[in-house]
Amino acid sequence: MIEVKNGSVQIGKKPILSDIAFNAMPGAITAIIGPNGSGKTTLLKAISGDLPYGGSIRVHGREICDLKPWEMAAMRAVLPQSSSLSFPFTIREVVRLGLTAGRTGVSRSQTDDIVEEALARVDLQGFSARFYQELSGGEQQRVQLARVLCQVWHPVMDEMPRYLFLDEPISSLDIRHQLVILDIARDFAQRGGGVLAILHDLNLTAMYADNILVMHQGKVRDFGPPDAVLKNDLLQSVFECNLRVSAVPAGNNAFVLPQSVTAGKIHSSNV
Amino acid sequence: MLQTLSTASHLPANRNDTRGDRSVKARLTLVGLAGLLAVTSFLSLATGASDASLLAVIQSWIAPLTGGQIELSIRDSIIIHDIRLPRMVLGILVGASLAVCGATMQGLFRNPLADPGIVGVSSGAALGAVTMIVLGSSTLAPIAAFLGVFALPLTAFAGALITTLVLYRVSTQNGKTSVATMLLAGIALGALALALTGILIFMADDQQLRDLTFWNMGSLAGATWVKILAAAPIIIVVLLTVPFLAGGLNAMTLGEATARHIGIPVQGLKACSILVVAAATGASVAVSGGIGFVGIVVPHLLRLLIGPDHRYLLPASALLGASLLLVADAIARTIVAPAELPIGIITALVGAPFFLWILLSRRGFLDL
Amino acid sequence: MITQTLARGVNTLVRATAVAAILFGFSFTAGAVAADGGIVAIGGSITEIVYALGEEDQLIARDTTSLFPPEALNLPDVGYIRALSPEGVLSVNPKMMLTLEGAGPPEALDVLQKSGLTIITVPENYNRSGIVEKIRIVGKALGVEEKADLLARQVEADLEAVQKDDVSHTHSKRVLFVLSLQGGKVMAAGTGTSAAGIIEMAGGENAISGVAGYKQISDEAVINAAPDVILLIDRNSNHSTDDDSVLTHAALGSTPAAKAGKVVRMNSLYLLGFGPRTAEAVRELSNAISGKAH
Repeated sequence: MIEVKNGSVQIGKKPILSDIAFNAMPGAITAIIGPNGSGKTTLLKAISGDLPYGGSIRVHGREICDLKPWEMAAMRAVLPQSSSLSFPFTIREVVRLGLTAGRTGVSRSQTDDIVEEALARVDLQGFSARFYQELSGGEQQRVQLARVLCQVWHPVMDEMPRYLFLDEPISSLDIRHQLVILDIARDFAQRGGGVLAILHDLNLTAMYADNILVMHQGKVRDFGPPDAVLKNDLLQSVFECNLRVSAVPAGNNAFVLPQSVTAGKIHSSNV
Repeated sequence: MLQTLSTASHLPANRNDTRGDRSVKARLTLVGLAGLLAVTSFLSLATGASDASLLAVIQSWIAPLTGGQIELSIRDSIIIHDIRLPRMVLGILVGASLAVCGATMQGLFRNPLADPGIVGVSSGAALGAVTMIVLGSSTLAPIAAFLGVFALPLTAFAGALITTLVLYRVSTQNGKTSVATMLLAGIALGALALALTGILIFMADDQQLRDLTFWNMGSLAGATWVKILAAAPIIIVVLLTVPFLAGGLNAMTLGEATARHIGIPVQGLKACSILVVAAATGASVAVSGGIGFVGIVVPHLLRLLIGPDHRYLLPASALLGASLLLVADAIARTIVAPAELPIGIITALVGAPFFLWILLSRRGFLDL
Repeated sequence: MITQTLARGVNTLVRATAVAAILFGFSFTAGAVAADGGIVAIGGSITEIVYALGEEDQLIARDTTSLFPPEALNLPDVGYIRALSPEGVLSVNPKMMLTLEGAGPPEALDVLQKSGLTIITVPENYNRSGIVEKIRIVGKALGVEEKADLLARQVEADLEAVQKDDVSHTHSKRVLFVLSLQGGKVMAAGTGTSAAGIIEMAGGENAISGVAGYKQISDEAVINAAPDVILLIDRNSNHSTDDDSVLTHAALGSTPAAKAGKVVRMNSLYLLGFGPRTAEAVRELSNAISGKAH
């Protein structure tokens, strides 16, 4: 379990996050939503161990600032928002980098198979000989996910659930691959791992998330299951636009229908 | 669910390729490069301005084993044992060190243009060495006496270390290295080191000036066993340390943050890389002056051949760098025989156009 | 695209190897030198003295600074006096190396000594007795002491005569020797230099007295030096500077020398060599300083 209590982050003298408190459970997808600049990525970075933080952030009961990089690497894998690669590696070589992490739970003899399997999962089988730089942005994003999956190939290792941290994993993907990636996340959670993902698409969030953390101006605005969180008032005030949360008759999934920016109850811009 | 979704939609053109695994090719290349080094080492011993016969020397080595005795002329023996052999050893050490420093620094800065010679680290090392040459008999006399033969390599190391630290500090922010800043900072640092060197040169007396001119040109001509003794321990330690950095440098190609997520202790890796590059650059510059372009040409060529995986790139760079310097040195000492050219001229003559070619072929890839 | 780049890389490698092979082939044949037991002369004045003694048959090689007499250029060149290649020297199979003080690098001399080569170092002093001593040492080394004695006496007498005849009317003329004028910066001769020595022998006064060696000096120092004569190295040498750049130079142009048009040029080895031709050089220089036609 990931527990954040009274979490805060300052960059320079400027407070970016304050009073953050929530738990991300294994076996569930926890989605982080919120408008641009609300502190989602900063929060994920703090939990990834990239930023100094105030308060307490614990993974499996251990304060993450006390953990060594290789100990963290055995507990969680991180998919960044965007990745560049400075030298011409092939896809196979990039994905295999995920397996060089401390304890991946994958034996040496399995390495080759797992690279292929991870690529197949992200719908890129047969790409292993291609060069990373030749791929489109969306394909590169999926290669990175394959690398991340290799790092925590078994969602549970030594009876310890492991985590996937995904920062906008589907932002540059077409609809089919958005579903492919979120299915992978769901599968990971169903097999006992935990997923913490920043998402922008509220409908997909509603479909896949078990819990939603709503960020606004560096604070947690709400936290809970989709049907408790996805409410007109809350979303309208957080995202500063007019929208309406409804439900499709056939299923129980909520869906969000954006309407317009100007007609909202928050200050409309006539300028 | 997964099975149904993962039907292949894109098929790559070269599906029957090596599936993107270049490690077998890399291992074969390593074997080939080791062979090449054996050949170039032999050539280095066999060629020179004089007609000293390597064959006779080898016979004289073997003869005692078979009970025979072959009297070798003093001249041939000196030429092989005291001129060509130390030169070959120094060439291998310096060549390997230059190429490995280039590859390591390029990995650290995540850029194929980072080379100690280009970003001012060699100039910093030169400043350290010149300081010792000029002030070694006066202000720094106690230090010079204490360090003995290591005085020059160690002061060069100090110069290189300071330059590298400043360079890294200036050009890297939040784990991202700006190439433009790096190159500009390198130019500034190089110019600063050169200016300080200029002041020292102005202070130098005639004799010191002669030492400086000779040393500045970059040459293996002054190879002696004493110099080798001074530089070899440093360079060998570096060459043995560098393989441990390979995994970390590979991860670094994804960026500092991702390297840390994969479990690499990034701060330690950076500190170690900087130390290693500074030490080996310092040692090489101290014994052979400024020999340029080996550090940029060798790793680049090898990346085209076996890919950027540092586990293979670093040892391959050491082998090819050594071979390249031996060939350049053989050319330097025979092309205008009995006189010889500074080796720096040969490496720059080959290296500079090659460097331009890199820039040309990477146009549009550089984030300048 | 990648394969193309690769192919080009390999191509470059192959070509480079071919070039190297040709050069190696060249080097294998370059090694064969027949004559055994000759003398290598290092330093322009040393070579000149050997020729002046008529012992050039003993010479088998020279250094880069040995440019006179022109016949000497036919000898193999073993490199610059300060950057000798030990194997290059040994490759001509010498029995002795006659070298001017300051030859190097020290590592090369050490190895040559170790190989059994006799190395005779000739001290360099920028005055009359220095030249005489050089001639005697070279003569002794060549085994022609008598001839050397004769030459030494003759050179000494010449120098004495020149200094008596010509030098008298050059008294108190201030001479500025400009080694180079690159980028408008004046590299001048200070104390203890060969130029200072020859200026003194010619009866002039070195205009720069505060610094030792060849140094870059400021424009103000040039004006302060107030030279009556500006001495330059001849046009066909590396350091040559044309008259215009001297006369239009901010500092040099305002000196008494420039105003009077007293810009003198001489060949560098002739002027600064301190060898058998120095008497002649002193005469030419003192005449130029005093304005007598030569």
